[in-house]
Amino acid sequence: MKLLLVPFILVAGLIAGCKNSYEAITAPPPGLIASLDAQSQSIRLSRGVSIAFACTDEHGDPCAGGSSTQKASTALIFPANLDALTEWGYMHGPQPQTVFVVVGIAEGNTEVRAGGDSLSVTVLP
Amino acid sequence: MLAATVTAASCGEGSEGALGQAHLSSDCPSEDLTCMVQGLDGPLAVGASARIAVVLAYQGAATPPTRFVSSHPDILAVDGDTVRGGVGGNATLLIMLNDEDTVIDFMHVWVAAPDRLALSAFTTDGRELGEVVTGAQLLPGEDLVLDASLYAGGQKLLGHAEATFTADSDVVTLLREPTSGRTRLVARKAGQASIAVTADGLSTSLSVEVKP
Repeated sequence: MKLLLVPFILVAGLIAGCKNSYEAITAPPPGLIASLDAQSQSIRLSRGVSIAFACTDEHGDPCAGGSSTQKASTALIFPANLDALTEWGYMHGPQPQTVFVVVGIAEGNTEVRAGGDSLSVTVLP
Repeated sequence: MLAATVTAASCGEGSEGALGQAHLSSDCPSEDLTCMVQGLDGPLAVGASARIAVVLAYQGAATPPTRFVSSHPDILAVDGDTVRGGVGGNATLLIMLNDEDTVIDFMHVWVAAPDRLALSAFTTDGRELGEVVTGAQLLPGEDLVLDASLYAGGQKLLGHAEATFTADSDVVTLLREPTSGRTRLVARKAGQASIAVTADGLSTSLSVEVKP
């Protein structure tokens, strides 16, 4: 089964431009906004709100852990430690997940880098 | 303290962090399980402070050294294990590894300005009996533990307000509890007393009758 998945994932990765995949793992607090659009790699946050998301590379393995923000006055990004393994890993087996937390600091737009790719961040009032 | 903390955490009580790994509770005396299981069930009052207890639920790991970081110190200030409400708003309280910028969990916290001050009564072991709604009647030698509670729009706010208690007679003596910061009122002799309480620019009072 794993051997059959290999070409499928590689082709899917090529079609998608070999980008990382990002998946939100936390919900917004009541009345506020925290969402991640995986297709457009964009995050929308209310000021003072945070979102956590998992990052996997084009092979479905956890991303590398590096992170940075273009404008720390607009949004911050931190690596997070999650007490869980990936559900599967076709080459390396279950691995510790790569998770990041983005924090909305002030209204505006910026970009963060997480695991090698960029995500746009919009912080709402 | 450890037993109480473990009990609260093992029951999945307290307020669970967004990542489900930390359980937070506030201002809880060690024997006050009711307080511990309540968690952070309300906005923090502007001007009030709350000590935050954190229990982490990591499989196969004890709780590592952690620290708090606030996304907006003007709204939610952090000083060690204590948070303080600055101005009204919302902020993220991040729980991070002590010497790294790695997030263990986080919690969204609201801060609200109080519009009412009330008095709550407690047992000597820290259990809250509820809001004081009428004057108190005591016998000489009896005592009553009181604390100022702040409300906004009918909702009770979190945090310990810096309250000032004053009595207008020597019928009672007011003592400050060292661990909780609450006030213990001790009836000394028969008579009447009025207790005035101020906190956060708000005030209330309690009439006390000490029976012979």
